[in-house]
Amino acid sequence: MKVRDVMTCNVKVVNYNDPVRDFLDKLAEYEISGMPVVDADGQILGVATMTDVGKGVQDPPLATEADRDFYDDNGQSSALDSAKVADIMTEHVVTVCPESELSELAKLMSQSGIHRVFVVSGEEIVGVVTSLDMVRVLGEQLERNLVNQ
Amino acid sequence: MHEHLGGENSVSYEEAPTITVGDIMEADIIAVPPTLRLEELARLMTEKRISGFPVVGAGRELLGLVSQKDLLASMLEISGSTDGEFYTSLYTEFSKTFGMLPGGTVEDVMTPYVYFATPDTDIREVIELMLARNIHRVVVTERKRLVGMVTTSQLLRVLQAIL
Repeated sequence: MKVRDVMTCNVKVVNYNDPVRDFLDKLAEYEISGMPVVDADGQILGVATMTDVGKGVQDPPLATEADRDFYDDNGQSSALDSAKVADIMTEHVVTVCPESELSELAKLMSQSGIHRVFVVSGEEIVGVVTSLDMVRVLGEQLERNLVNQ
Repeated sequence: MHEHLGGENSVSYEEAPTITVGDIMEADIIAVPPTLRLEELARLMTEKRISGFPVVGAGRELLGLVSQKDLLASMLEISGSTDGEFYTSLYTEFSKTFGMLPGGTVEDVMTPYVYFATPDTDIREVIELMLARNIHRVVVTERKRLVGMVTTSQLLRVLQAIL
């Protein structure tokens, strides 16, 4: 079984130059916890998650002296409006090819604890596989083994 | 989760090789007492990089689960959707940096009910539960006492082995 057999296509991406506030709005809209970061050509540069935003609050660039008052009077964050996705993203991103063996991906995810791996063909993001996608495959495999008894 | 999955339509369920929760669970897990102060809980979450812990009594009986989200709800009184997830992920960072922690203990914010399995539960039941609830961890109990946890990582090792 190959990665392409289980991946979800139509991956939502965020541009590296977008404000962090817009990024968070997108996460809420799509009800997801992270997105790959791309440049204008659609090439993957990294991945940004809510955890990355959290780290950004504690460390530069979001933890400047001026941002110690993180909330303004409206309860909104000024730091999040000025920071770009590029400032908080993780540049190290794990990708696989559509033709990779699923067993290899299972090994990679269980060893590294990564819950989301992007599928890249050339420079283009063509899909994503989450740990729950893999759990679903396991369920199907176990059922199949049962029927084949 | 004691519904018996597989049902009468399945082929020779009793004879098929079954992988149980006890075969794959992680037994060495960190649990917290209900009396733990919330600032200690936040520190533990940050140190261990774990977003939720089982809550157990003196006899290690399972009382509930406490997560970043529970902490956050008590602090900001945010409910439901909107930016709740975002604020949840920021919570532990805030707690250290800005000292915004509420007073109180784990007991004040924990979720009393959690989904759980027992060591002899078929892992297919755990899989169904994870997919239905969109969760990555299921607590394992034996005679109401906490004995382990099953996570997606352990299930992926099984998948790797059978593919």
